Amino acid sequence: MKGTKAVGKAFVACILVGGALALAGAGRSTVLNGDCQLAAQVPAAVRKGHVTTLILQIRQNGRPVDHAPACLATAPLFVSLEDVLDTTPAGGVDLGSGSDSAVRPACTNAIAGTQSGPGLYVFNWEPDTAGRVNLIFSAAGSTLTVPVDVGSEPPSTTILVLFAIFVATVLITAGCLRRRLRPGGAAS
Amino acid sequence: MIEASWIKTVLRSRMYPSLLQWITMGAFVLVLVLALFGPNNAGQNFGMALVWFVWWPLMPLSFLLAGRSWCAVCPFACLMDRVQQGVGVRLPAPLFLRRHGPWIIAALFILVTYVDEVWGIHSNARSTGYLLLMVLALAVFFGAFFERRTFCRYVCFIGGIAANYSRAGVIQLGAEQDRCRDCVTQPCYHGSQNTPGCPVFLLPPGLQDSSMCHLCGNCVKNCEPDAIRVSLRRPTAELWESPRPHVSAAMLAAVVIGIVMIEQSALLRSWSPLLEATGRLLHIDSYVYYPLVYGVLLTTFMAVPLIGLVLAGFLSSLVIRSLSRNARARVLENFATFGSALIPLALAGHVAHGLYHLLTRSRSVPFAFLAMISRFPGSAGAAWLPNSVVFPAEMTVLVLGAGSSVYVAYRLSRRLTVPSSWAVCLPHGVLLLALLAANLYAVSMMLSEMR
Repeated sequence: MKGTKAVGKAFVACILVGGALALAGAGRSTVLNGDCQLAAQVPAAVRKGHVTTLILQIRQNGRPVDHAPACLATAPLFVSLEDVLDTTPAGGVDLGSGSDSAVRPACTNAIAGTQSGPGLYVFNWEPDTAGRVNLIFSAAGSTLTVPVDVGSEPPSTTILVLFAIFVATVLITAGCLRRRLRPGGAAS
Repeated sequence: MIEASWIKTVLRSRMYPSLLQWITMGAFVLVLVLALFGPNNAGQNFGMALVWFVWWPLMPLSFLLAGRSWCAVCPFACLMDRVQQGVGVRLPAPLFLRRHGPWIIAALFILVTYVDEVWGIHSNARSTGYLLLMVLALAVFFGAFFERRTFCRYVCFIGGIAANYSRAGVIQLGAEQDRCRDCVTQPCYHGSQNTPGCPVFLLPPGLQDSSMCHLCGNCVKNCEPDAIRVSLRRPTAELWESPRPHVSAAMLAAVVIGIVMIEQSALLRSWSPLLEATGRLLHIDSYVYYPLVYGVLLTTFMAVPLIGLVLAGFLSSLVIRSLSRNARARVLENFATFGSALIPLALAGHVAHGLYHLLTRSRSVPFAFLAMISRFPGSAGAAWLPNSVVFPAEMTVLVLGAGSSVYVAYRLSRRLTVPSSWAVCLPHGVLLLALLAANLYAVSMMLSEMR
């Protein structure tokens, strides 16, 4: 209990210094205040529909803090159905609409952290937004904002190839058929 | 009817529709490229924003104000023409399509609506791209093998609503029978050396309604005696002046009302409880089996106006039988005839729903354009007007549509040889008012929820 209190005090001391640290091509973002450090490891880009691991580390004097209170990493996902539908670009950050209508009502605006080691919080996030999003990690009053590019899936090669083959087949077949039916071949 | 010579001048111009076709073709290529390779986000993708927040909402309104002139400049049609010029075999349209075309179109429209909702096509750039590729593939196929615009006439999923709405539209094209009587060559149908014939197999002197005419102007350009007439008329006038009862058209009008209703309902907070309740009823998880649950809901929403029309047709036939002692008054005939009266309400529902998207979303089009060139505009709303203005506007459109529908039903009943026209159209009037009430309720709920 005592330890928890001490850790809590240490976190309260961790005040946001630089606000959001927007690191282009971010790998690791940190907020440092005194001897307290809040660090997040986020891939530079996450891909829609793919499970992404986001790691939040809290250290004091360079050591992982044990028994940290529950952390939340809030990403600006969908708070309500209106937000789902709102595609307003806000400061270059576009929340976009969820691709799968089925999960719309189940969209979460908070990602609960799972402690996987002393002071180490791992966030498994399956992003359902596209475009650039801000991941905001909060821990006892300290906040770390990490902008992440959510990469768009490239179009399916299979579909593109199938389309090309279909169109080519149709055009070649029609061309041959036309020549056979009208030996002159000229368009009327 | 007022002769619209300026429209005729436009139709006669060599620039029409080719210039507009090239513009829409350019826009289509941009949209397709952005949909396939741009950001997978409706709000950040310029192509997506253009399609879903401008083109799609404006489409029903364009049919009312400009007939099917969109079809004349549609990029798919343009591409089809080019394919036909290059490799076209020009086979006649298959008998199956000619017989069942309207049903195929209606079925495809429902299918696309279902797929759009279940796979979120309108909010997913890739899905939109795949849908466009699919339509493109079909257009290439039909352009390569079949004559003229077989695809537009018998397959295009927009064709059904386009046909219905343009019948309620203000532009009419026809021909002066006296001048056409001596015409042997019929260049309006067969074409001339400079201009092809009617792309959708219409012979202007025999044109009975505006459902199929694309207003491409080919007949105007080809007709040397200048027998083609283009005129402006009262909206919805054709629906009662030259009623051509089609079961498929009546069914589609009823179904569209249901589709608009479900689209409105999906924006309400009560949508999730409705989904969950349906899931409980079916003993399945609503979100895991969403395609099935949505399918059931879509079917229900479409069935309600359809069943209502059948019931109204049944009651109306009973009235006709009792008033005129006409034992031959059939329910199906009544269904098809008075189904035309649903068209203005269906159109109004579609326009109102489109208005919502247009006025509350389309401001993201310039933002998306800026985003495309990496210039983010900062925090700004996507709406041009606040909800407090948009929803009353929607309601006004709905009331106007319902009023027109009731009037069409009354005028249709006056064509029957019965002593009391009001009694005949009363069941249909009640149905129309009930549908209006349901639409208004959905819009007022949205207004109260979004305040």
